[in-house]
Amino acid sequence: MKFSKAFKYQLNDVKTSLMSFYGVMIGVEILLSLLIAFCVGNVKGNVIGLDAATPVFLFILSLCIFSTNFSFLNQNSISRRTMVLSCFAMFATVAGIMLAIDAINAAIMYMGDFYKYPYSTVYEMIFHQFESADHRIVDKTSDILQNLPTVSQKLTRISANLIFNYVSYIAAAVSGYFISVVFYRLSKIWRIIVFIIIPVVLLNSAYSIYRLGQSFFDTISRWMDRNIFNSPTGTIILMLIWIVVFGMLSYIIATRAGLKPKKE
Amino acid sequence: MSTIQVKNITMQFKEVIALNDVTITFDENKIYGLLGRNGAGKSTLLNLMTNKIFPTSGEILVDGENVLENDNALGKIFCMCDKDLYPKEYSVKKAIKWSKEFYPDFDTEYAYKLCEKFQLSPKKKLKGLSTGYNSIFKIILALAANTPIVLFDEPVLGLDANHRDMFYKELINNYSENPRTIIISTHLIEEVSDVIEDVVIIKDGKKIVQDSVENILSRGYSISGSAQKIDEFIKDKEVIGVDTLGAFKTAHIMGSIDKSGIPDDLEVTKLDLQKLFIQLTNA
Repeated sequence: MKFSKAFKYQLNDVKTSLMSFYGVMIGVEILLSLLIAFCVGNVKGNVIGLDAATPVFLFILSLCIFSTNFSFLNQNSISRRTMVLSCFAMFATVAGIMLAIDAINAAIMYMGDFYKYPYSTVYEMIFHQFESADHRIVDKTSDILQNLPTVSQKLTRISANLIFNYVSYIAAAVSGYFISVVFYRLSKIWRIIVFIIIPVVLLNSAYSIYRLGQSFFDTISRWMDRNIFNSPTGTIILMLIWIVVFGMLSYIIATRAGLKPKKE
Repeated sequence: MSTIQVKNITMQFKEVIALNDVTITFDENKIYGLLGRNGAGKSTLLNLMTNKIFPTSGEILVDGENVLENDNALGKIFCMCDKDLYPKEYSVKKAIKWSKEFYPDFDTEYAYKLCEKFQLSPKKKLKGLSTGYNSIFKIILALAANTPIVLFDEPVLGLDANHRDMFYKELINNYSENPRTIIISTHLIEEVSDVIEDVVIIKDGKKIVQDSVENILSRGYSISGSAQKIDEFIKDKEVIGVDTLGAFKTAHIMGSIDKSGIPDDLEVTKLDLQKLFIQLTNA
C-alpha cells in the first residue's frame, strides 16, 4: 500500500511539468506549421525528430526529483527502497504516457501531411538507410512505410520504433536520476571534482587520450558501429543494459543515503 | 498501541560519537520527555528512530520490528522535526491532503479545526510561514496523524507564550482522548515538566537517567523561606541551586527529606525538574 501511495505522489508531482512540456510542444508545432505554411517560394526541408525532446525532458525532470521527494517521503514514513522502486514505476508509467502521446502526434504528422514537408521520427532519422528495398536512402516516415510491402512489416517497423522510443525515454530518466542521486550523496568538494573538474579535464584531453590508444579505440568504435549503433536491436539492447546497470546503481546508492534536510 | 525499543544504539559521525551504546525502552501510552544539553544526541536519536540516518551499530524496534527501511514499522511513527522536509511551494491544505494519503488514520477534520484554533490559514503557502507558524503547521500534522507513536523534536520552536500554552493543552486533550506513545524533545524543561510522565536524559551520547518524573523529583526537594533561615538550613546539605528574591530564598536540595528537621516557617515543595536537569548534566 505504501508503494502505491509513494507512486501516486511522485506521479502527481510530475503532472504539472508534463502538461507544461506538452503545452510548449504544441505551441512549437503550431508555430512551425504556421511558418511553413507561410513560406514563400519553393523552399525544401524536413521536419525531423520532434520526439527527441521527450527523452531530454525526462532527463531534466529526473535530475530534479530525488532531493525533494526523499525529504517529503521520508517525513511521511516511506522507506528509501519503496521510494526508489516507486520512482522507477513512475518513470515507466510517464514514459508510457509520453510514448502514446508522441505516437499519436507522429501519426497525425505524417499521415495527415500536416507540415507539407516530410516528417520523420528520431528512430527513422538514425536507422533510415536500411529501410528501402533497393537500399535507397529515404528520409520520410511515410515513404519508409510505403516501401514495406506487407502489413506485418509495417507493424514490425512501427513496433520497433515504439520500443526504441520507450526504452530511450526510460534510459534518459534513469540516467538523470542516477546523476541526481550521486550528486546528493557527494560532499561539496566531491561535487566540484566529479561534475566540473573531471568533465572539463576529460573534454580538454579527449583527443590526447584517443591518440594514446588510437588502435584500441578505433577497433572498439568499429565494432560498436557495426553491431550496436547501426542495428536497432543492438541499440535497444544497449539501452536496456544501461537502464539495468544505472537503475541498480541508483537503487544501491539511494538506499544508503542519509537524509540531508535543509535547516530552516 | 506501540512500544519502541532502542537497543545498543551507537551513532558515529567521523570522529564524533553522537550516541554511545544507548538502550532505552519507550513503553506504550506514555508521554516522555527526552532531555539533554545541546549536542547531547537527542535529535540524532529521533533521526535514527525515523530512518533518516543509519546507526553505526544497534537496532531500533517498533513492536519488535526493526524500523530500518521498514514501511510497516515506520508507518506507526509520526515525527515533527524542526527540519525543512516539506516542499516550500505547497500550501497547508495540500500538505494536509498528502498526509492523509500516507497516514490512513489522519483526521483531516481535526487538522482543519486546529488550523482554525491556531489561526493558520490552510491556503497559506509553506514558504510564507514564519518560524513559529511553521512549527504550528507541523504540530497540527503531528496531532492529527493519529499514529501510535508521535515524536516532537523542539515542537515549540518560535512559538509565543500563548501558542505554547495552546499546544500543551491541546496535546493533553489529544492524549487523553487517544492515548499513545509521545516523545517530546525540548529545552524548555519547566514548561514541559507538567506534561510529561517519564523522563529520559541524554548526556554526551549516553543515557544517564530514565525514570518517571515523580521518582526523579523525589530524589530531592525545594525549600523556601527567609534568606537567613534558608542559609542556616542548607549548611550541611547538597544544594543544587538557589533562587533569591529580596529577603526570600528558595534552595533546591538533593537527598531525602527529614521532615522532623525542617523549621515550621520554611515551606517544602517538589524539586524543580530544570534545576535537577542542570545538576545532572553539568560537567
